[in-house]
Amino acid sequence: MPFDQKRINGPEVSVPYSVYTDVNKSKSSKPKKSLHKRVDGREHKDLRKIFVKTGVISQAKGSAYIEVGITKVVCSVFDPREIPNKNEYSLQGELFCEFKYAPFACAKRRIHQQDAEEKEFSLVMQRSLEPAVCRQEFPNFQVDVYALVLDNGGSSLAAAIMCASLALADASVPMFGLVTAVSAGFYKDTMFLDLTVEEEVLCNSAPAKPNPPNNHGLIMQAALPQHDQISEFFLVGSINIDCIKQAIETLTVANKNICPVVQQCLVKTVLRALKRKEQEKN
Amino acid sequence: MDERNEPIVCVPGQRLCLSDKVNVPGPGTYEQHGYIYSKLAGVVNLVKDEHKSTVEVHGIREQSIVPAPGDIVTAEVMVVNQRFCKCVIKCIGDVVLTRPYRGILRKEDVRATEKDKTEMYKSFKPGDIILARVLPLTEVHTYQLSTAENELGVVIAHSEEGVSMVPVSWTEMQCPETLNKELRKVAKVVPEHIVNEK
Repeated sequence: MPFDQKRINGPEVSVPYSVYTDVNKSKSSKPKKSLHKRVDGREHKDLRKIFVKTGVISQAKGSAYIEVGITKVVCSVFDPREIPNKNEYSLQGELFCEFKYAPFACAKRRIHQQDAEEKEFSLVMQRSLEPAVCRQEFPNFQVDVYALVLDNGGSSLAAAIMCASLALADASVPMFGLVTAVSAGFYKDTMFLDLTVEEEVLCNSAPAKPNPPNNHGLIMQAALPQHDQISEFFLVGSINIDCIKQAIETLTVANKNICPVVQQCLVKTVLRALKRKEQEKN
Repeated sequence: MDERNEPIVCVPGQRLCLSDKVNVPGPGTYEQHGYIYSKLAGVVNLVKDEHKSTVEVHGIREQSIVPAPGDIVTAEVMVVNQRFCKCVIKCIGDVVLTRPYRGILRKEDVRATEKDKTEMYKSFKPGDIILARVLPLTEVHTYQLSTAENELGVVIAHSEEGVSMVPVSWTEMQCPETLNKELRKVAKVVPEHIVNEK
């Protein structure tokens, strides 16, 4: 870790205690168990329970909070501002996205600066949201979106994208539609929907035996379910093309199933705002 | 909309109705594949004319308004130069901006007549509140302003003692306490504003 003059510096090197626990037991038995039935009792194509709420940050123009299982993400959207270091005239505005894990969010402690994974996730998040935002309504300006993962229970990127979409709608940024996102993982011929952290680790590792099927990898698909459009498809790993087709169909259905949750949250937000206006009149 | 009083709530991307000669998309909506969709999370409003009805969606928050050419804006003068003065745009019409934007007012755009004889130091001073019109955009983040109309110019100015001055003529403002006169490009404001300022 580099020396940081703006913070209190602790030890130069620190290792989490979990490295020294017995890994062999869990590693050998876990794949066999989760391949038949998942640890938390879900079926392979079930989603975890979702809680969403808007208007959680008063300083931001729009904000949202989402819980998907253990994963907790908070997102804030700020007013259009000038794009730094830009002199060209452009008809489209820009979207600035920052994806960040809190230091306490993962099993291993994260540093305060963005690392390579977070920067990549920021770009993925930006590509997911750009098709949905009417960027021609604020030319030459940039809308800031900040997503902070408070607890990483798996599928944090998908949760952050949904949270950002809600926050943008809460901020009254014009949008063509709402963005929902679901992630999936493959291990051999088994597909997991809405992964947990353990399942993500499992799908990221290649199977031990070299016999086919040899699939392993993670997929994140963001979509506009109201218009049957996919805004981002993010794949890491090695997966057969037939399995990818199957995954796209499953993820599209899952995105459609999630969309009513987001819509109802927005309707509640609007009704709450209308009630507040009526109370102010009286 | 007239029959029932309950507001119609919509979310972004929700299909509202068919787009034809009768139903026309208005602000807060867009048209795609022959249908009108909503852009915002808010309430649907139908504005009915003789033959057509405009579908509008009003968001729950004030829209982030960006100045457009032709708008009348309220700005505060920050820096005065021989050739131009820099301003900060505070309001667009009646809407207060949450984020200030930069504007520039050139010497040639201060007056409609006798442009060569204009002197910036006799028209504006830092801290003045002015009404101006936005000219077409030439630079990326700086809005060109113009006060070359009778109704545009300095609206609120403070004297050296910090008292709001009263406009006396087209080019002069007077301090009500010390009776000193200062030169400004005065806007022709409705007298109600003068009463409110006192």
